[in-house]
Amino acid sequence: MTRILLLDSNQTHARDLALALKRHRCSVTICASRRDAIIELKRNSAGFDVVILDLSANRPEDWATFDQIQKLTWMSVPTPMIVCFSTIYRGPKMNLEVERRGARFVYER
Amino acid sequence: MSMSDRFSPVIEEVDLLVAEIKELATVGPHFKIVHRFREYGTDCRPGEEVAWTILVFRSREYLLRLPLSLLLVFDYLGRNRWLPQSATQIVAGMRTDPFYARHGANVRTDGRQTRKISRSAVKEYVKRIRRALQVGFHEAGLKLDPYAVLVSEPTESNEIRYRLKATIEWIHVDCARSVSLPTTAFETPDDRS
Repeated sequence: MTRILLLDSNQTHARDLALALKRHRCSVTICASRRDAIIELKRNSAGFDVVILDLSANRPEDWATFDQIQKLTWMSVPTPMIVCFSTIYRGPKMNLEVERRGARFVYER
Repeated sequence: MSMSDRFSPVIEEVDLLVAEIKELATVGPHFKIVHRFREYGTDCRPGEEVAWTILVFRSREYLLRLPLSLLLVFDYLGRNRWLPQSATQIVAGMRTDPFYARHGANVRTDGRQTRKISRSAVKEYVKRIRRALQVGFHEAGLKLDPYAVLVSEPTESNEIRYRLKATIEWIHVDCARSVSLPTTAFETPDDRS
């Protein structure tokens, strides 16, 4: 079973995505805030295979959270991989920016 | 649009990452080793040069910053990746293999194209290869521990055996111009000193 940490401040969206992932045989821990996600990762970053991060708002604080999660997860073994998503299309530049930082990016349909 | 359709890009990406994690854990990353100056119609024959080692990840290529001696050790470990070898075995294997003894002999250059690898140097070379792997993994955004790729395996005594956990593909070219290389800056530890 894939263990996922989902950081998504939109509660409805987080619930729906978690449900879809659970149907796909994933165990999902939802964190509504950056603080909760950081605490969870500091406690047990090796306990997750994938971290999913919402970058829809594209705010500087979202990128800061992304960077902080990268730093926290980098040294853990096994290292969780990061997938970012956006519900708003912002062109290929955002995709490239995320990939440059060593994570994956997808647009939701 | 149904919920599963809406979230399918995220779910597909998670699937891909999980498959990638599993593959990296079981077989390790993929490398290309480029040999050049081959004799026409032959592959991996003595006289060829080990020119570059390239990390391939997600359809992109990243040049590893390895000087000649490390290229040779990496090539040797790649060829013998099924069997862990001690520093003594690596040195013996490289000294008796005509490929390394006649390395680069197919072309005349000013500098010496062979290297004498000593047992005591192997430990240091392993460290340097791991550093180069770390840089390559970082450039590729690949979260992988170099110690999990160039593995040190303990024995019943204090002897350590080294094994490269990776998939390797050898590419042969006849001259430098016929190979397309990644755009990563090519810098070796020797260049910096």
